[in-house]
Amino acid sequence: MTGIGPVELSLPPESRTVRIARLVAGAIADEAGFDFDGVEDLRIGVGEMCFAVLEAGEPSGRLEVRLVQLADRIEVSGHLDLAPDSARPPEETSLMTTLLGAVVDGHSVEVSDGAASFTLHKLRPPET
Amino acid sequence: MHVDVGLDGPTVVATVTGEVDSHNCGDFAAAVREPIDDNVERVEIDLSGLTFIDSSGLSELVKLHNELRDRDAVLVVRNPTPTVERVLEITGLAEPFGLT
Repeated sequence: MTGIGPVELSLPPESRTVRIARLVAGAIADEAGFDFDGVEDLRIGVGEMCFAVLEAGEPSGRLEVRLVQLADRIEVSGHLDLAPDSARPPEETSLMTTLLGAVVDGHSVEVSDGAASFTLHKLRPPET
Repeated sequence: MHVDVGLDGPTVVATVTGEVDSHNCGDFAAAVREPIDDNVERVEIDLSGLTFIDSSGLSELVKLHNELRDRDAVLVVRNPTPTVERVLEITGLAEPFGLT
């Protein structure tokens, strides 16, 4: 199956826009052949990661999210520029850790001086 | 997200529809808490219209559960959609919320 090329979203850095990223993630997972739970898993993962970077400091740019369908996985990355001296260490609650550990196959959040970013991926289920 | 809340004797009955996430979980929790007073013994939340919840929404439910437990009241959730039920099971919250 030929995957959808990269889909790039440039969203206002507001919490209400995260549902747009979730919506697109769900559509791409569906297109990629993920089952119902897989689609929901990716929506959850993308939402958690987007909120993580939005809460990492004072935004100074748009929330950029890139979703790529590869042969064996969907990869999602995100980036948000932060105002100087506003960066906070990323916080991951135990609920978030438990949820992400179950719904995606890998994730990370990085906050440095001036930007917050994330990556996650979810493997495609084996074809039966 | 929309929350309907009513009082049936000592029981608060809340019905939530839509999606609860970090953006609106505070509004969700405030709406459910609004009618709770010292006479309330039980809070039931109907999740049949809830199509999505994230860790922030779950965290608000846990806080509410703990607050009620501390005053000898209980929180139970009812009729979760498959997506929400799965999230509750993954996080170990199905049992404390009265689903099993």
